[in-house]
Amino acid sequence: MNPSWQKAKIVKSAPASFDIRSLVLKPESYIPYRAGQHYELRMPGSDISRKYSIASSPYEPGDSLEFGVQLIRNGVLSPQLWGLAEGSEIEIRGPLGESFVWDADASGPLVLLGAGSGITPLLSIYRAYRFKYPHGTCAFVMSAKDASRIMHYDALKDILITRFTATEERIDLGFLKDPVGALAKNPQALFYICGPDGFIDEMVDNVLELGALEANVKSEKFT
Amino acid sequence: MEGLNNLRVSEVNIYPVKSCAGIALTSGRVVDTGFEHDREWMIVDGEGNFITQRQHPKLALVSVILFPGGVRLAAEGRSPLDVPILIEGTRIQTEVWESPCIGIDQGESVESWLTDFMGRQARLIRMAPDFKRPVKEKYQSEKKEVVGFADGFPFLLISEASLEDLNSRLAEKLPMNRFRPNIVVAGGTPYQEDAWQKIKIGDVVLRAAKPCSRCEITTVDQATGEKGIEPLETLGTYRTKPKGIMFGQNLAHEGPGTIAVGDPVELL
Repeated sequence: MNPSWQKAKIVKSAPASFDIRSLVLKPESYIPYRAGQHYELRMPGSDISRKYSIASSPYEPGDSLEFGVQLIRNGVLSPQLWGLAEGSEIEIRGPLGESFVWDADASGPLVLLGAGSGITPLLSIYRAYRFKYPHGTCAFVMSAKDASRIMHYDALKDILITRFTATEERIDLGFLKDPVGALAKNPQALFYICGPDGFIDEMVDNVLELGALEANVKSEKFT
Repeated sequence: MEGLNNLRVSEVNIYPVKSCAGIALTSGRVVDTGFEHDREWMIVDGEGNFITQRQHPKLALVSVILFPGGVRLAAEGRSPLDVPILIEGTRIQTEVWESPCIGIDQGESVESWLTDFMGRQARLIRMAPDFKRPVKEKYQSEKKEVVGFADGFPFLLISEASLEDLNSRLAEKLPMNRFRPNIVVAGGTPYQEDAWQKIKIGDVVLRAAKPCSRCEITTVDQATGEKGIEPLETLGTYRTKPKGIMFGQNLAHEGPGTIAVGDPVELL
């Protein structure tokens, strides 16, 4: 039952922010996944793989997967992925990850807290939640250097609550009180946090401080 | 009944070069940063970013031997290389999980050895002798602990019982080396270390600082450098906490001493 490596074709490669490209892959065999899961990606035959969260929703029609690939300076895989033309093939293994999944039965409020390219699994969860619960309450809070660093910003700007660290303070407890404070007291509310180590450490403490139940808070380290 | 338990140290391990193979000791000298020589060296890329098995799983195949005044690196099919410690040299500013560190470049011969082994530019640095890296402020005690190039804390401790419980859930049993602990404890119950607050081993008092959230390095077979998917998939089903998938306990210590295999573990 463990997924093995398979081929996947790049059906679309397009800029999605200043340093993130959206890659849409069509795997040879499509495996149903849950929002929040990830795949490992590698160049064919290489033993260097990297983990990428799925950004698309499991409820989207078709059998393709969207990933957000941030260009890492001096990186091994991301510059190669950026350079691949549509129609190229890579290898992927997944879906993986049991600790950051959103369960489609979870009809309660949703709080998504992300930093930078940590947006990708949150995007999948957001899209899945909106599909299942079009009128559900969701706070989608993002920290990034500026708007150009947020994947699909133009499509998301009306729903995102943002802090741009180039010109604004970082997200802290005081900032979260307004969008998240009331939701945190709701025992049905689920919290998904994705970003660097320090961001997770701070944001988990913040939402717990605001009253979130420990069992309702999940995080995924973006590395 | 304090102290009357059957808990004993069953392994003492150091990892002199972060992310390379470890060394099993019968007894470890404890200095301010943890076990002497643990994570004293680290590999960085051309821009000074640290490289670990997360990006380069084959680093597991680099074995490390300490000799007076230096470290020897070896890997199958390559000539071993002795790297004498350079106290002075190019200072390299780097970070380990957002915590700033300063290392001294250990020279061109190890740079070319590592670059050749890894197929990308890589240098070996050693913690600068005049630099002390504090444990993250939030997790410090009033003792203001310091640490080498470890992820965040002087020690990682895991119970054999925790691994046995995990292995009972896995199709293929995994060895303890997947988790790169410094101290392994025999006896007791699975995940007992989660609840520990203060313990004493040998003459060293240790404080539980933070449960250890696990990354993809646990999926690398330390004997082959092959990356798989377990144990993270299975751990993710039952060991998920708000800050990640937890396995093992990070510790900080009150002062120097010695910790040896066979030492009793006293819960304080």
